[in-house]
Amino acid sequence: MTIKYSKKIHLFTIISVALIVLGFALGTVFHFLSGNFFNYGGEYSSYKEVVVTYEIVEFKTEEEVKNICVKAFGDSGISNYAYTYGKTSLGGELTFRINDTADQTKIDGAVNAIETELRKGGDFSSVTSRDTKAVIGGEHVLVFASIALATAVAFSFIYTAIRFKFAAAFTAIIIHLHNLCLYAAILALCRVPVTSAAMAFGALVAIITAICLTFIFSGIRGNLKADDGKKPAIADMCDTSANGVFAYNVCVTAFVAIVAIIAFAALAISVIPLSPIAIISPVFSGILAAAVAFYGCQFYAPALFPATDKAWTAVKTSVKKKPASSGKAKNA
Amino acid sequence: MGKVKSAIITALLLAAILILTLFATVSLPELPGSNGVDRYNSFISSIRLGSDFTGEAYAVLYPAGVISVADYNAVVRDEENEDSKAEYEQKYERRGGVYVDKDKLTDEAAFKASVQSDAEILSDRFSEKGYTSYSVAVQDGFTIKVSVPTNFSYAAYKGYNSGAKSVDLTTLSHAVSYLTLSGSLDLRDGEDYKTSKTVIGINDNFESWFAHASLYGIGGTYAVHLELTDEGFEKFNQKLTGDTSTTLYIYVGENNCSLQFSGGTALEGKDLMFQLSRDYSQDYAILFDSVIRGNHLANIYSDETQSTAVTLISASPVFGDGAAIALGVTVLIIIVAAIVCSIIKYRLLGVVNSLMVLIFALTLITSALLLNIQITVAGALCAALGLALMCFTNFRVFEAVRKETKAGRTLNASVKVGYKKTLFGILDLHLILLGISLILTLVAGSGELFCCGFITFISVVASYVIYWFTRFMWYVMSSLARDKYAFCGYAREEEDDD
Repeated sequence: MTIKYSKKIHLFTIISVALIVLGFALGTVFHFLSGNFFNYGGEYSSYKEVVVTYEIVEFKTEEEVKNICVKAFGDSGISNYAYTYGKTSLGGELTFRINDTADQTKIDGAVNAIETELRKGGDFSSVTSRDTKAVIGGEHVLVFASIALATAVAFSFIYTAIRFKFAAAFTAIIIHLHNLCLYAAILALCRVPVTSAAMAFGALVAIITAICLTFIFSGIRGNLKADDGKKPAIADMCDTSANGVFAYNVCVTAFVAIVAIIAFAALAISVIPLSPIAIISPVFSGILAAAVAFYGCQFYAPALFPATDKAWTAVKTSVKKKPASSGKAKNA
Repeated sequence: MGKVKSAIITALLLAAILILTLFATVSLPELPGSNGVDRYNSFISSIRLGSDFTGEAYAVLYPAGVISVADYNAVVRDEENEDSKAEYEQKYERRGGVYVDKDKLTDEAAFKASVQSDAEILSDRFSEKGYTSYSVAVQDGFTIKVSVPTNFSYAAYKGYNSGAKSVDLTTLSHAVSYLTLSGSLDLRDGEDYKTSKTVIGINDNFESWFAHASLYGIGGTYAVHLELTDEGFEKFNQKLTGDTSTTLYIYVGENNCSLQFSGGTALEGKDLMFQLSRDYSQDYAILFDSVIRGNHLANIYSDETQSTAVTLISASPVFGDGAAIALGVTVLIIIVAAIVCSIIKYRLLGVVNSLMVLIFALTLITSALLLNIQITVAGALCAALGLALMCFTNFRVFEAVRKETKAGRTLNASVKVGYKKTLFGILDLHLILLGISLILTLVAGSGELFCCGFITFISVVASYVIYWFTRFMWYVMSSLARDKYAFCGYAREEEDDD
């Protein structure tokens, strides 16, 4: 099956622009309504936590206390929480991290039930509910990560300009930006908790994009060389090349997505009870990175390349014409 | 190549891979003849893992005048100490998960604002540490929770290397203890705050004497580097040479930073260096630089134990205790899938590729161990992508060679032409990825993105080297086969009798 990518540039542009605009618009709305553009998770988020501290003289094991808490949460109708446990010098501390939007009265109900059970064991163990507002700091990391991504994209532009054509370089930079924006927009749109790993998956988007674009541009160059003296239509060349490397691009992106899914399956088996908040974020980010890079490179890039080539040719022509026209003016 | 030579090279390579795989993947308890070593930990179990797999260490910091519910209850529920109970009940009022001194609540909004402001300063300080993830959060408006990744190796996390775990926790505790210090920079003449007196302090505007503080490292030796301004340098020498000959200590607030130097001697340059371990030097550098820039905390913080060093609680990862095993299983599935696919498609040539897959995996494992790279979920995906790149590179060449054999060339000629035809495409792919990963590594400098960039960089280099090594091993191993086409899984073109 041959797909005519170049004839569908308007469709792809509409899809991309719609998703990006929608994502950024909703992100902005969320920013004012719920205080964050992305649904920050893990280290950045605002969340509620119930902390249970027990002493070994009252409760022998973590499991004993955990069972009390799990039952109390179940009775109060709280099912989604991330759980961690740490040993202290006198016993242990169990932390249940709950989404910020969870009903406080339900949490209070669970806390009271846990408190009642803990008091049966003695006076030393305690339970508290804490409202946690994370400081979205770490600007150092975020700024440098953004600069790193921008520099990587710039490098991609320079390398493509040297190895292929200027039009290809412009296409590459647009596709890189398109993919990164689309990735950020869909993250904002889906409200999946975003951790610092989101920035790392941004790098994965840039890397997969670079791989897939190299396939496409190599294909175009190969097809141009293989042509028998006739001047080929660039749009046809792009379509042929994109169709030729379809399997490669599918392999690379599907590989990343499959690895993410295998990791999800393995983690889902290892984490009992399953904590969707914890697992979904990195797995979703991985699959999204692959999907966005595939769409941008396989569909949008071959559609865009003829347009940028045409624009670049027009610019070159107008630059060449200028001295001639100024000469004519002088003669006149 | 002769069959004997070929067999020797193949056997040597197989033996090397086998031995390295054994050391890389198998942990052995009580190795016989190991001179008392209880357990040999494999390379893979000694690689540092991100907080996704080994959890975070955290501490809740209480400003002066705020205590935990547990502390409050411990006093109030103590029936033998009625006086303290009455005192606590009169002094403290509950706010969310803490009890706050009523004096602090006279201007509750201002107190909360000061805690929030302190949290922002702390967040900036911790961001300089380059952790793969960390968090500074305000709880109930009155306390600050600091979480940092433990980055234990699997062996340390599981207790197979308890010494390493203890050292890691001490290092983290040092970072949290010092980065959360309040107060201004002070130079005092004794180790104990109470019995010593200020030599140069806030009245001299001591902090303005310094241009900046930074971590200095050369050849594995690290130091805190404090650079004086021109004016500071003059004032420092005037004060030092004219004032005292005793040992002087640097304090932040009331805390002795254990950095000392002899007074009475003029400084030769504007640089003050204090040699310490890398982590400790970095902690002091970040703290001093923050203080020099005027970022002082408004409150004095301590953990529940009220001790000088903050006690961290090492929590299990959110993914659960089996997360690291899940990662291992995922990696194993990918490697087995790559091996099986290549053998099915290319028969004995697939075995060559399988050996390359193993070499690639061993290269990444050894590099991660030697270069101390932390593996997170994103980092593991980058490594998997590197493996895909390596396999793709080889498969592309194999297909190019197959195409040439179908065109009627001999296998040797096909290999030559196949490599030649794919050379620039593969070089482009590797060069652009090399550039991107290098930029990500160098510019990001630290954190998760740095780890991803570094892993990709190593993967790309390994992939390209293996690309050429595959050709060599293809040549070596195919020398053993009678039918070279069958070796590669290629169908030989039937010659037309006409």
